[in-house]
Amino acid sequence: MAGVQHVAQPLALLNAAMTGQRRIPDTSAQVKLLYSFLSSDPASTQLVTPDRREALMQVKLDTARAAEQAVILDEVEAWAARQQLETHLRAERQGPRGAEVKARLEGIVLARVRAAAHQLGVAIPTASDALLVQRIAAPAPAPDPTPVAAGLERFLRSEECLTPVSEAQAKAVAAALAKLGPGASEPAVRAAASAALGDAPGEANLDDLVASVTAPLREHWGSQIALERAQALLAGAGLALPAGEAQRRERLLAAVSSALLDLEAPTAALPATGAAGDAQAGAVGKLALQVTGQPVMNRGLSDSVGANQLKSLGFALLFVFVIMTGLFRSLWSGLLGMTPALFTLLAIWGAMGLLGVRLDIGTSMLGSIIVGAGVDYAIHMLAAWRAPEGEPLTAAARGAADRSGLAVFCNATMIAAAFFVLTLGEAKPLKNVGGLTAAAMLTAGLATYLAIPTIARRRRYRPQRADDEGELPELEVEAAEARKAQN
Amino acid sequence: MLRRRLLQSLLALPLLLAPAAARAETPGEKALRLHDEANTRAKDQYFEYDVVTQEPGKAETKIQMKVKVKKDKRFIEFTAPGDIKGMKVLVASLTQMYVYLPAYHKVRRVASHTRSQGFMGTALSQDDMSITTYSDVYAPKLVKETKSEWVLELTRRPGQSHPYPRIDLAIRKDNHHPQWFHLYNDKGLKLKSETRSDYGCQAGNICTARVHKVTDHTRGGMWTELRRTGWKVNTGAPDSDFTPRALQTR
Repeated sequence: MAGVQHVAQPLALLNAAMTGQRRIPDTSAQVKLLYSFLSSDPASTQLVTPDRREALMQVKLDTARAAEQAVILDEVEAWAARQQLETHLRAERQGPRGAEVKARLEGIVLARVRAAAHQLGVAIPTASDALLVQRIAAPAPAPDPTPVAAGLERFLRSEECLTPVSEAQAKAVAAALAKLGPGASEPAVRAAASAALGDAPGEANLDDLVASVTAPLREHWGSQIALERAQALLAGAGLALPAGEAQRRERLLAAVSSALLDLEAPTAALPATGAAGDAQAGAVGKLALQVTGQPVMNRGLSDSVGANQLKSLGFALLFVFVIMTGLFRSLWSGLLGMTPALFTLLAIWGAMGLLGVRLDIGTSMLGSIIVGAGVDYAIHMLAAWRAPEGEPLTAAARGAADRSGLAVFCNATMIAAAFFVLTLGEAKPLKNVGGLTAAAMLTAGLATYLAIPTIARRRRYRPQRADDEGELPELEVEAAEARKAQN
Repeated sequence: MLRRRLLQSLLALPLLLAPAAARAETPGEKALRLHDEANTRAKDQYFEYDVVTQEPGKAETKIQMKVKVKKDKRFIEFTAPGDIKGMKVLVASLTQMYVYLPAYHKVRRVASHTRSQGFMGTALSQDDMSITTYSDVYAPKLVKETKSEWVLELTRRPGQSHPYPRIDLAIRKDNHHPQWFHLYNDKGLKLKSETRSDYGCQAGNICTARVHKVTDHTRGGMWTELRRTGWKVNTGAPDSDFTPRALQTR
């Protein structure tokens, strides 16, 4: 897999612009608001329908080989089946299924950590999953308030803070609020801010300050805790990259830190149990996952082509066998007539296998072309196969080659030349069909004049008719002349 | 002595008159000044709009909003649909724009590089909503005059950052308000068109269009229509209604 794209990514980016945290927001109101911003972005609107009832998760593959795509496709389908979210509910972390919520969030974080490591080329052995889960679930270390104070100070000096404060006041307020630690109550924030501002800032100013600083304070603490957890996780799981790779290390740390923020999500989607309490526990929804795309179509096409190939070729060979048997009044002759075609099929399919040419719509036609041409040439050969009594079979072979050879090889060469033209183009499928058909025509011609003389055991295959009577004396004369020439 | 002073004064007269002659208003400048004056004539105004957008091949969308205008400042509050209800935008100046996001309880300043992007899925950009008067930003040239309108070609003045280097603008002679705009990029390609129709007036000569239609030619003819559903003039809105603080507290 080269990458995965889905609508949660632009949502997380927008959320990062709002809160500094690159993750899906916790409330549906926030998600809806972000969706409304996305509605102006044509790229994002390709990932979700306007009514937001259907979304696309695009898995990009870095291989064009059908066999490799099929393996990944099987894995994706297995993943989709494992999600078990057909009927799900939004369960609260503090609710009766809190333990399941925690386990699911840990699972999501583990998957995100693995994905981030994979993207950055950091190998995580599957065996270390248990260690990672243990580290993910470990309690957060006591966070350092210094970066939080620095972040708050920047905010207080920005135009987004509703109360204008001096540089000294911003520094004092930031330090006082950071000192409160994570999860400080609003009265505590208010009291700390008031004390730090000094000189009775005024109720309105204090109200504005508390209103504007509450969310950034919570976000800075959340980010700092996640960052320190990520540092501990990477070090504890042996995933810390060497100092020389600072850029990759920072990216991995940022991705893992961002993933760890999800551990604090208040809810998670869980499969509904079907119990009466489900509806009360959270909004019950239905989710259907459908795997689709080019590899799925390719697989369907491949299955269809493969099945059709077997059916149509089997039918063609059977039909040809019946006609040949009827024509030459013998089962053995019927089989003999099919020999060049079968030999050519083996040669061309073998070559396809050796050259790595796949069976597709174009190349699947080769079987029928080969059967048609092979049988055609065999009929010419067998119809001309005649040897007088007392003469060896080589005389029949020579006579048949004399009578039919020019026609067969002219035919094979002309058709081969016509198909060979296709190899001069740019389209790979057409080049394959052209080259292989040209080769098949020549092979079928050669196979006719090699296989039939090698296997044939009769003096004549075409039933004798009344108008053939004058033929044998003529052949005998020809044979006598030939013997004379040899002597 | 007196003669000498009189002579000096006569000689100095052309020098004194020269700057005045240089400042003489061209017909285009006069038309644009009248337009700008008409746009800022009211002490303040209050509007309610239905904003309907039609993108080719997609369903029509509708947004409702309330807009307060005082000189070059605008305060916009979205009232529907529910996803954006409570979201507010303050255009404090051509370069200062803030947005309040109720779901996040936050005021964010809108970065200048994002202001030319589509706004809430409409054909309007944030820059389109930020400009009220044009004389400071564009140099006008009168290219056509009929009985009912002046047609101006506006060229962006050096140092200005408004996204359209050229705007063609038709101003009605009866109320000095726009009839239509064509907005071009630096290669002369028409990006957007805007028409304003069905003008009404209050308090004598304070007029606004009931329908604004903006068509984005770069997005297959996608259009947005602002349909005015409510309008008040000179409501006495204080300046404090047009501050970032008002976004969070009003």
